[in-house]
Amino acid sequence: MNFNNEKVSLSQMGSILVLTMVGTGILTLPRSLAEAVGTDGWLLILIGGAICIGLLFIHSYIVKSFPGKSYMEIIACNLSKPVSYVVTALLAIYFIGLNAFLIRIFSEVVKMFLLLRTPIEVIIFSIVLMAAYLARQGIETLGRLAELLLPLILVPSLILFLLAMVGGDITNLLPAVTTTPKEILEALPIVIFSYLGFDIILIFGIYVNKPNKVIKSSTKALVFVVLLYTILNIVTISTFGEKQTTHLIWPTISLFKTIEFPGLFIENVEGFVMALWVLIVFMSIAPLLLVATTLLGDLFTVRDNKYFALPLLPLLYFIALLGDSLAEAYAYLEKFINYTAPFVLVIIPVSILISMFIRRRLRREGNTNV
Amino acid sequence: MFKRTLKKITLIYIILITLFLTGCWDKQEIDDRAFILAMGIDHVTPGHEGEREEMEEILTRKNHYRVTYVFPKQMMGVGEAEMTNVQISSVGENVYMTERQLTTRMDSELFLGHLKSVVVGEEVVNNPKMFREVLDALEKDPFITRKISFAIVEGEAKEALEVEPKLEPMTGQFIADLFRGRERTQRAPIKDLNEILIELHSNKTAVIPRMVVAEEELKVGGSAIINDYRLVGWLGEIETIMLMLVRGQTTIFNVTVEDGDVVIPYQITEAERKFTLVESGDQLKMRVEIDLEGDIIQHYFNPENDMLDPVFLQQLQSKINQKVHDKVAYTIKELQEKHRTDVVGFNDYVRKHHSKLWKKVEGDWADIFPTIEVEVVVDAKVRRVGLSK
Repeated sequence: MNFNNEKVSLSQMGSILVLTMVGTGILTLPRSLAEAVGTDGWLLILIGGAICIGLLFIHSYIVKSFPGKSYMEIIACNLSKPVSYVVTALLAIYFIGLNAFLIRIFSEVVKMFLLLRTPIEVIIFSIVLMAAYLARQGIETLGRLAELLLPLILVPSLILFLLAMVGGDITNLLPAVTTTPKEILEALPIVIFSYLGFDIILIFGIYVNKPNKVIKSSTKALVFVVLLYTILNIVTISTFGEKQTTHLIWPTISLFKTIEFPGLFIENVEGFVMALWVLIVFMSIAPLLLVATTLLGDLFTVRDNKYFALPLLPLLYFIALLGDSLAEAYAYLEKFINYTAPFVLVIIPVSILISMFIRRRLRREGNTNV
Repeated sequence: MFKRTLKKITLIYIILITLFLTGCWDKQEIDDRAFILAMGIDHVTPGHEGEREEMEEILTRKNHYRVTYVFPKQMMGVGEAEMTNVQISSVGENVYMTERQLTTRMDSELFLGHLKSVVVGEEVVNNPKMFREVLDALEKDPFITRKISFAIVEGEAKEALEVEPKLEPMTGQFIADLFRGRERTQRAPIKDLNEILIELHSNKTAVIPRMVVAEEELKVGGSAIINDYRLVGWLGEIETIMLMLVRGQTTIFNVTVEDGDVVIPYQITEAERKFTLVESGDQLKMRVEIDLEGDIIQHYFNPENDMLDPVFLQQLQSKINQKVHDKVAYTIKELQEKHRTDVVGFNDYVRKHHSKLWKKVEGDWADIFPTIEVEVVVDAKVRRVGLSK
């Protein structure tokens, strides 16, 4: 047993990735897809998934090529030191921002369905406090928890999906493949953003105990999420049809409201679904917080980065409360992601990759010259 | 020594902190909640006898809703507790306001999480604006499940809820149970709110079960046809069964056929329907194929015909075919000519399977539907004939 707090196994890393990707996006995805491309949502999920697998491949390749180095060190040795400071700071802001919006949407849903009279500030504060507690424990605890929770969440969810499938009409997916390539291109950001969170592999890559196998395990995690989203979308559209889906703010929750349990020993399964979902979102918030603290730790070159977890809380809290309404929070989130995500997902990793190849070639030429 | 004091301090600290961490804004005693089982929504015209104070206050406003809530309440008597059915109405400018106004007159809080059925008065459905308000009130509420039964009352919803059914004193439960008896007969469309909302979202049309109030009895039979969020007409019980058959939503019902002067009931156990678009030029033509399987339940003591004779069964089958064909064709004609509303499902079929054609006809579908030529083909099979020959 490896008890030092620096390493996670491949399967633990995979579980962290899956749980981080599946967050609040899962609630709105069927609606935004139905709005954008009608009944062809599943097609878009697959295309978007393929693109994300490509990006993830680049990310994992970078991590694999520099075993034992943190992301900041990787940037420093590829794109010079000053750049690494700027980029790391930006990354920290990105992850803090992303996390704050996640927390906001989580609290709004909890307030809507579970805690009607509890002030939203209290909901935010308690979930953030929990996440900070986990983030302070470090990556190993997180990995174990993820490994433990994944089957606990997954098995009931799949059973619920099956039950929801019973009431559906699969012909609602027709007409199939009628969207034009232009519509697909326009809708792609929606899908790619729903997979956001796989980029944490860049920062957590240093902790994986077998870095040369990281590509395989992270791809597996993403493929798994792609399948999950596809099933979810098919079940939702076949239950509600295209038009009804566009009229629901959180179709996924409404979907579970239509489930009729055989034998009626439980009347409403929403309570149960919400409990599972709280776990899922908590396991998105905690890794993102840990990522932010790790980045800050690298930035200020402190040995133990767990002291950053608590000071981040007020910041998260205030960013989370930025939007006046749910609609505004969603609008801010979209804007924020539109400006930062391409930078984090594509531009930095690709420039690292280019620099890696250039340096490799230079080295080879240098060798032949000598 | 120092370590021990530290431990003690930590312990005290932990105990103290738990005191501060337990707070419950959403604490609610179960006794203080009124679990609404049924809701009735009516339109009241000014001058209607009702809650006078509230009426005066809102007389000048446009929409007058009267919402009746039915819930069981435990009456503490001597000895055993007794459940009574309480019903209470309130008038307001929308559904939610009636709920708010009621809380000033009640000792407990209304809780809609266990709502079983909603009945709506005819008047509400005559006014598209009111009907849409009601539907949205039901769809938006995070506690109301989409599985509740929904029906339209011929007359007033309040009257329907005032009936105390002899079989089950809890009115809400009783209404929900009426819908659940789907194995018995299907004289009304079995629909929960979810299906009705989906249909209204996609086509603005719907078939909603009709509820009829009789003395000390409630009956669900027939259906209300909704077009453009407005009630356009009622469909009788037999027509409703046929409509459900064409929509592919029923598999169990009965028809009777006459053999000489004997009336033979035929119980259908399986039904399948298929639409085909035969002609798609200027004049659309649809073929509706219906395959039935079923049993002969009853015939005649010591009959002259042999029930096991294939020729006789052939005869019966063709009679069944003819009868079902006539009824289905009549129902579709009724919908085309009288109600001019496509609740048959042709629109969904064309949209799903002929999406190019649908793009062309989508806008004028309301005008095209009544002109569609419909061919009905019924194929009934008698599978079993009971125990006697």
